[in-house]
Amino acid sequence: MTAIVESSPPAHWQPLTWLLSSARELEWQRVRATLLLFTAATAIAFLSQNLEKPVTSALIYVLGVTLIGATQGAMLGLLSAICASLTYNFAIAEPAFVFRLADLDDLVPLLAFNFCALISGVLAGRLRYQAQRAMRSAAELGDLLEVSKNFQSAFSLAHLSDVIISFATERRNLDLALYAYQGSKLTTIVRPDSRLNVERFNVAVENAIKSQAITKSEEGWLIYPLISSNGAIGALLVRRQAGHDDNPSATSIDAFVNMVSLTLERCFLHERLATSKAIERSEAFKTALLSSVSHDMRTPLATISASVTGLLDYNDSLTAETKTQLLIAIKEQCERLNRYTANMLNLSRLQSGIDVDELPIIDLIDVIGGAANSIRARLGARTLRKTFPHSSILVRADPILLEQVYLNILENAVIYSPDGSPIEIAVHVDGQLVKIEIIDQGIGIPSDELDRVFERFHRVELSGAAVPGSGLGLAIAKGFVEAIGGSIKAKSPSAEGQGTCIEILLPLTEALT
Amino acid sequence: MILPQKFSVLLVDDEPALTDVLMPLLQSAGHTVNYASTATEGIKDAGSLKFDVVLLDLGLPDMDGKQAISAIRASSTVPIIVISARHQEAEKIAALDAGADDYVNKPFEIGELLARIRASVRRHQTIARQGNRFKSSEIEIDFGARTVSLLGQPIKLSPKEFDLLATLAQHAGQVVTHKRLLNAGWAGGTNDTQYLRTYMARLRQKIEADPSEPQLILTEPGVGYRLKVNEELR
Repeated sequence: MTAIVESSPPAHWQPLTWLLSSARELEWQRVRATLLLFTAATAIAFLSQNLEKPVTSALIYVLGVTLIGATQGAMLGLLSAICASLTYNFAIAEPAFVFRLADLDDLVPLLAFNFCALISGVLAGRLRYQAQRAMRSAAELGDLLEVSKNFQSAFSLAHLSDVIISFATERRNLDLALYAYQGSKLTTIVRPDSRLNVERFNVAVENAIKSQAITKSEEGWLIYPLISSNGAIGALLVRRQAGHDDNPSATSIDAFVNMVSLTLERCFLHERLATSKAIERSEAFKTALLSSVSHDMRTPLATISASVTGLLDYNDSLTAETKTQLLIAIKEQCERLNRYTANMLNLSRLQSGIDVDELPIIDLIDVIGGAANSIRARLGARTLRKTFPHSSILVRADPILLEQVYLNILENAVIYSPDGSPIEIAVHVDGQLVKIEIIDQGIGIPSDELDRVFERFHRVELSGAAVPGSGLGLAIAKGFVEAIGGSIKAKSPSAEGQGTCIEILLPLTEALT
Repeated sequence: MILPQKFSVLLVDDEPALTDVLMPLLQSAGHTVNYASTATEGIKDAGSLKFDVVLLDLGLPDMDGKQAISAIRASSTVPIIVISARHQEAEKIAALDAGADDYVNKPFEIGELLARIRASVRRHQTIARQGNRFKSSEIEIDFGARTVSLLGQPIKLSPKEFDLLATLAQHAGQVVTHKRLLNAGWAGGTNDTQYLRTYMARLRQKIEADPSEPQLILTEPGVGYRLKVNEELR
């Protein structure tokens, strides 16, 4: 990136920059301070002279002029040096109050004094200027370091825009605009002022990018093309606002442009990485889904097929009891297929995302009651105890999905607990949350699997027995509960020493007054 | 009042797998069944012949379900029950608003379908008779006197609770959409189903043995409510 040297005087004026700069600083405060110092120095010098200490007098005077140069700048240093010379010649050196050289012996010290005063005053001023410049550079570097840290943590275009905008506004003397290629289209990411129509720069920007050179544009804008390892990715437009002295230097802006370029490239790479990761996840999901369908649909279908063909082909040799058994088996497998289909549908709804604001406000008791009602047919000899509060409990959720969540958990409770054991559903309100616990006295979950049970297609190993679940139920439960701002976890053994407790926390919605 | 149990049914469905099973089942329940495989044919049949009930599949290829319902309604008040898939609440509500009387979700049990057919036909005939009493095995309502008794005991309901229960009873066995209930309870209407939910909860507290697992006032998720009536099967 080539640097532009601008808003500084032509090269042969360079040595006097420090003088001119301090001339710009002339203001009443400085003049007053100078006069004060000058008066003090003159007085002390005069006094010393009268006390027969001419060397002290001269030295004090020079000291005074040096101090003025060091604290008030080279211009005032120079002026006070000249005044000091005149005053010293006239009022202090022998013969006093007369502009006359007595003899050559007096000339040399006089000249020496004049020379000294001049050089000290001016050099002190120059040193001051350079010190100031060094401090400003250091401050700018510190600034850039700060900005660089901000850029380092920016991975998204939005964050990058924020950093650029805060850089521009913190120094209210810069206007910035960022163009970037999104796809093949050049769009504005940051614009300095919504009133400013930056679109008209489009052509100029494209030309600048093509030529890869920094170009001046209308109204004082400079276009810096941003080049990455893959070619041009955009352009940064910079404009110094008029009438400000402490603009960032050209090198500062160069460094800033470099940082923008690097960060922009990183943001685009990050986007691409996220996309490819999403594709990877999607592929993994599809694979797991196919194997689930293959297993979980085929098994019930196998039962139905066997039962039906048995009834058709061997009708005469089957007893009435057997026929009824087969028909019941067909009915049960159909119900199982239906549940599985419902779970698949719910899973795909979760995959495509849930807009929480679009969800209706529903009564949680209604939903849990519906699930409890549905599971009763499969309880066998197990008992179902409900501990519900009397009032309505309002939450924001999809009623069908939520009912399915509780039904899935209750099904697990039935499947993994022995016939005749108790199952409990307990609902408590605790501040802004409602806690729902579904507790069974079954075989429980090994502690190293407590988190894994919520993974899609995961099934806890049941020694020997075929596991009837599809591994989707708890995954859907977790997916939906978390999507509506709640949490779910499994505890095993439950408080009574065995079995499992699934605990769900959901945020309450404000009831209508 | 005992109503005839043999109805004339028009089945409008394009899936042979379903119709091959439904027709013989409906016939063995005593009903006569006519069959149309497209919406256009179905509309024509509904307009030209007299039926007690129309079963309309929402997924017909040649016409949107709502359009078919509107077309039938243009010339007839025959009860229409739509056959829909689960999770299509918006479509079901649209169908009910367009003039359908009830729905069944696929997959359904044949008993469910028959019960809903009976409920829709009964309501249709009750309107014609303008009855002002309702009696089921649990509830008795006198619409004129605005009294309700549950298992023989009178119960006290607030005016809104009564209006809501009365609306459900007038559609006994049929689904009643949130919208219809809101219009019944709040003249001038309000769109907020939350008021409705609160009142329904209160109603259940008064009527149900276990309000959290209601047996009388059932929730149709996303659509509305249904008053269940126990009746002898066939």
